[in-house]
Amino acid sequence: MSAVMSLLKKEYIEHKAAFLYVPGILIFLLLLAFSTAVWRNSANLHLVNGVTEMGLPQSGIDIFNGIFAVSILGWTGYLTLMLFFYFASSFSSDRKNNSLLFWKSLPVSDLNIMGSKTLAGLTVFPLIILIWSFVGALAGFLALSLASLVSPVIGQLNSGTNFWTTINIEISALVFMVVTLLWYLPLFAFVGFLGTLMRSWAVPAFILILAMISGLEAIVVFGDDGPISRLLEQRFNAPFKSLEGVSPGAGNMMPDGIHSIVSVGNFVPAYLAQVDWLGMVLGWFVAGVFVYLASEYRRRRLAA
Amino acid sequence: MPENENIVEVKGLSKKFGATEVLHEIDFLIPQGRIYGLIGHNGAGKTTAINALLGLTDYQGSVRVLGLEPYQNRAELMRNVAFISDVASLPRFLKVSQLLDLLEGIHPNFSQSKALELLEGTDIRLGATIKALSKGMLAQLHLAIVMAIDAKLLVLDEPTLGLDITFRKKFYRRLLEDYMNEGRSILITTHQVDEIEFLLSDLIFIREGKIVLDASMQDIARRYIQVSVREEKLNDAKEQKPIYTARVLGQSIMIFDGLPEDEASELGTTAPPSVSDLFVALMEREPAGTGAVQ
Repeated sequence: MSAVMSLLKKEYIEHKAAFLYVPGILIFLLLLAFSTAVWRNSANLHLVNGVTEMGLPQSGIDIFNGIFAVSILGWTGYLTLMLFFYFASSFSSDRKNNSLLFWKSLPVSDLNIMGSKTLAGLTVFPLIILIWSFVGALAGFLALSLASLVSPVIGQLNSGTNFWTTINIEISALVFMVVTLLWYLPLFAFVGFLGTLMRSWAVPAFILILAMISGLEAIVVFGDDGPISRLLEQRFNAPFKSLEGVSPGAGNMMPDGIHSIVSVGNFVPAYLAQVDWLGMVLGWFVAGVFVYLASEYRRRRLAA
Repeated sequence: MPENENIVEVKGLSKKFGATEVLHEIDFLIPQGRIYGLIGHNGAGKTTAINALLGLTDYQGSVRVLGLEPYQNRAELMRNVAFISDVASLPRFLKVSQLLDLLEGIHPNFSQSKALELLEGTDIRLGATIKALSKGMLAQLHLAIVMAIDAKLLVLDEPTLGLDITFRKKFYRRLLEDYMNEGRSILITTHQVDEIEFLLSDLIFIREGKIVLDASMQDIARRYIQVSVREEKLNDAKEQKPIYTARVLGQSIMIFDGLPEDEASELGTTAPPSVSDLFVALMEREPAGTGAVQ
């Protein structure tokens, strides 16, 4: 096992709870809630009314993949939020748990250690969430299949399920998550850098510093949007302009409609075309600077 | 590195924290195959000097460890240097087996099988989480880890702090029997100087950031002599300007610097001074350094 792989493993062991255990608990609770709803027969009534109001056809609908595609947005949001806190915490975790001197006794530079923390945030943990999203989808499909035994209308709504569409969603989700994380990388690196300086105060400091910069700029430019505020606003927004633009016909639950939206061939090029790549690459450079500064600060630290 | 070359070369090492200078241009060498004790009071500058050797802090002056400048080359240096600065610094969230696995991947000179061998006979279970280990077990585990690293220099900064005497004795005996060989050097700092006296080949005393003694144990035995002075010889003994005088069980004990053995034996019963007595003698002496401690 190489040094980098070992350092990634160390990050995984230290921070796995938010990525390995919590999503499993969330999926379990969702399935439990769904099962309870079906068991109490309330889902049946609700769905019948909904179907009637929408006037949807009585067969050939792929509600499963529709829900799965939307859930990817939820998983990406969860991953982004957890990674924000991961970076805020992990950059100073060796100091917090008093193991800084031990890691410094090993033939690994501070830059390599910080780099491995960043790499773990961009590879190991997103991969775990991606796997969870797939496990969640399978569990969801199983739940819908079982529910269709109790509630015929669910079976009708799910009768158009196409697993090839599911695979396409998963691959598209991979691209979507990776691009999203790479877009937010400078923000992750910034909060990580603040973590090395201020440890548990990193998140409040992150908010305060960015708010102060925007506020001071607003005073200087008399309330108009200054360049820094525009830059920050752009960075906080998602890397795509709109999913409607990426997925014309979003909301179409017909199997063909869903498949055309999420198919790797359609989604990925359309999505990547919307990304501001210059801003993306500049963001990586900024992230690199923050990671380097954090490692230099760590190099000068001896203890908590 | 050629044989018999110095493992550590320190020249004019100074370190300031703000306006306070804690090391004042100290010089010393550590050749291959020696066990050095770096002894001093709290705040004397021992840990700062060690941190400079290990590349953990910047400094003024020249430091070379295994031919490398430590501060700019810490990661490379740690391939051949192992250290324990604080036994409580092992990562508490890992299990023992996980830690050994990670070290096998991270450290090119770490042998997991050697570590497992060293842990045999201890109460440490591989499945135990490090945070669940007692302080003694932590020290045993940390020692097993550094002893499983094929390093040329081992630095131990107060490695047995807070441990009971049985364990401290075992710790140092194991170090000497299972680790030390001609190709390695060890640098130890501790407050329990008497406990490491038997394993030291050289001694450095540091006081207020300055080295007050840097000599091999043989040279120390030749240079310093302790005399239990007979009552009738007390005045004669005082004329020889002892560097240390104490009354123990009604007996006058004096330590002399450079007094020939035959002259000393005329004053009373002679013996080589213990490291702790010599430490007290040299540390309590005025910086100018000639007056006896009365």
